Amino acid sequence: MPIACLLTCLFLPGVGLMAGGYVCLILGMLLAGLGFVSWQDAVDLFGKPELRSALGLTFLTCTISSLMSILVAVPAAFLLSRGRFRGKSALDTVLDIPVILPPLVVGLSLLILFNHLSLGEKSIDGWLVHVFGEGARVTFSPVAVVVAQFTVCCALAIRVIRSTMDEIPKRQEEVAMSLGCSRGQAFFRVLLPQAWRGLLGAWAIAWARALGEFGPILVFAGVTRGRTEVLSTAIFLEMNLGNLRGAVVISLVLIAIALVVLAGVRWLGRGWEREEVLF
Amino acid sequence: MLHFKRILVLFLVVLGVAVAGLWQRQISRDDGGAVLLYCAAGLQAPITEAVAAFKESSGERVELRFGGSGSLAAQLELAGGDLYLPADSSYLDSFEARGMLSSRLSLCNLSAGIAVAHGNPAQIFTVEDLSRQGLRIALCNQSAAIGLHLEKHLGSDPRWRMAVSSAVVSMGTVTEVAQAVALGVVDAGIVWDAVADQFQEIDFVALDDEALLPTAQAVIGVLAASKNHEQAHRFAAFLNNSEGGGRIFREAGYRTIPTLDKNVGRVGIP
Amino acid sequence: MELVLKQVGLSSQGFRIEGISLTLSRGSCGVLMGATGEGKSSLIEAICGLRKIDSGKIFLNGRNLARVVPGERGIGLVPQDAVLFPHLTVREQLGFSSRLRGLRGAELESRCREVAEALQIDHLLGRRSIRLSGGEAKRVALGRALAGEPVLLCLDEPFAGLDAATRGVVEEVVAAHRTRTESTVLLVTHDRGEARRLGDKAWSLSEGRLSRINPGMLGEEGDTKDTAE
Repeated sequence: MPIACLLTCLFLPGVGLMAGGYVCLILGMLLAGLGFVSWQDAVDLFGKPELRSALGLTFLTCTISSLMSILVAVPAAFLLSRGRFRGKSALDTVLDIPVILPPLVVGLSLLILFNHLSLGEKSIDGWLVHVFGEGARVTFSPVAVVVAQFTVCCALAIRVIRSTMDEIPKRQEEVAMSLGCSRGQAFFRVLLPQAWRGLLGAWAIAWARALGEFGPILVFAGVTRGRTEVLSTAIFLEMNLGNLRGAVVISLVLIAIALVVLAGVRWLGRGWEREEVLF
Repeated sequence: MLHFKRILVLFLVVLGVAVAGLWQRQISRDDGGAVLLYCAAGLQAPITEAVAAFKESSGERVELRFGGSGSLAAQLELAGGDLYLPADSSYLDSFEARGMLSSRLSLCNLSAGIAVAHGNPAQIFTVEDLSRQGLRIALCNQSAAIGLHLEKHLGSDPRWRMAVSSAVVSMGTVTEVAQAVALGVVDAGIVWDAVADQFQEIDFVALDDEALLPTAQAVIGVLAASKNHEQAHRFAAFLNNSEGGGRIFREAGYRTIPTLDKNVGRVGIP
Repeated sequence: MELVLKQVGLSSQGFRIEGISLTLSRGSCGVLMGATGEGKSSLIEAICGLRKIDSGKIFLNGRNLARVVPGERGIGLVPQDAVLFPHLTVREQLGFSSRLRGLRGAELESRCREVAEALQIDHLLGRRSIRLSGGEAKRVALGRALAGEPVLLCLDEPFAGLDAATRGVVEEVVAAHRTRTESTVLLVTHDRGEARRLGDKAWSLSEGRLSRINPGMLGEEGDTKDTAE
């Protein structure tokens, strides 16, 4: 069977070539970006107070939206993974909407939701301003950045946490309940500690996604320099100023931050795994 | 299980600190009395400067919100605002038709021309040169002002038709075309002179032929829904003034039009 | 405690059992036999409250269990596949139910050690459960259930896969628990010898019906697994 033999011989090189080609593409992009700019470009760019403010806001909003995503995603994922109820598949589909929708549509929908859906005689934003004062207005404010990020990140976090929970046998919680746990205790003492790595992964993915979120922020939070500008929208502004080098510098900074977060989480997850195996 | 409580505490502390930090930014806006201008991102540089100058001369503040002209239109329609400066006056037309503008003021003239890489390595000087074999050309489609504008003025010119048929890519905004030229993705593109000026990587080839030298105007609109009509109008007039915004625009490479004593094109009374 | 099932019916994918009635008096040991897939494990889970029953009633010591949550039924379950908690050490598993009832510190430790020593797994106390052999896991699962001092102990194939010596230890521990606390035991097994040795009463579950058999009449030939399947 010479053909079968040939296929066998070519299998590994073929697979390696395909995977290697893709890795080369990614690394090529990074290297081209690095070659395009100089250190001075970075110094110039982050000398601007608006950029430093954007960097700070990026960290704040990504942290808040990713943590809030986890907070909401854990119960939602539990419901989807363990619950049996009518309309579960419909709920499942609804939770995919933020991920599937074009980013601009998410932003536009949020804009309409907060400004045009009337509850009584006012919109949501109208009520917020009416009750808490002008500072509570969401649209075009730093809080809007978080809302825009959260809308998309939470759906991702639910996916990740749910698949983690699906892998943990339901029997464990049942046995825990027979041993005297309430449903809640079984959740906190048996399910959650085991889903830990999934939670960490979900948090990292949510964080990185929030970092790259652009369309919804552009529309819903607007881009006001020094106020609602985050790194992803700063790229857009710098490009429109004709400052391509600046845009590339910010992109590289974004990539670096995302890499550090993802690598850090991978390292933490590995540590956990080793502890389990070596014990 | 032992770590669980500690992790939860850490989680809440980090969240709390971040929320506090965000809230600080949320409430720190000192925009009392500021009017809100939705500004095309391409005009960011001169407008930012003009806002600073306006504040210095009058003490009044203008908050800027940048974006693409189209998405800005959606934003201001949904969330309200005072002033709208799109990259292309055609965006204002639909607002005007619906009675959403109280007045509009022209700021500067824009000329369309050919953007080429610095030093003009491809030796492009005329529209005929664009249809030369082997050149990569970027144009704006008609969703952008410049695309609409050129089609209107040059649509029947055979030299222009040749150039259009040899275009390799059609883009949505004039800034994208300029970026493509600056990055060397294409050899040439049709852009406004003022946009080309922003990119140090680009040379602008003005077209001598009168028939091929269409001009357009950047126009700022004062919105009928504005809650602070007087101030919005003062800023628009400042931009329109040859000593105020006009000087900044001229320095940035725009050709301003003479100050108008009266607000031409005013469609409503504030 | 007395366990009474009245006309219990339940169904799941692949099988359906109905009209199950049995009475198991306090301190006695009942044996449930039958082929795989007949629903023995499901019946046990239903008694433990982990599975809803379609019809009938379950009483433990005169109390209707219909509205009692699993954790408050006082039933210790040892599942067939052990179902240990992979994130906990053996010590934490043994102390799981005691901890829930507020035992802490030295008291908790002595309780864990006591159970572990009886089952001869005290050398494993610090180990995580994914590093245990099948027999060790079974003993941990039994210890985990016993540590909660259940009034009814449900054992699902507790001796399968154990070597003879370990089996002896486990039988001894179960017997000691019964005499000490006068608790009732419900045992699912394939092994006739086991059923004869331990059972005061025996039933066979077949095609969704329960029939009473006399444990003393069961032959010596041991495992009926092959014939049952």
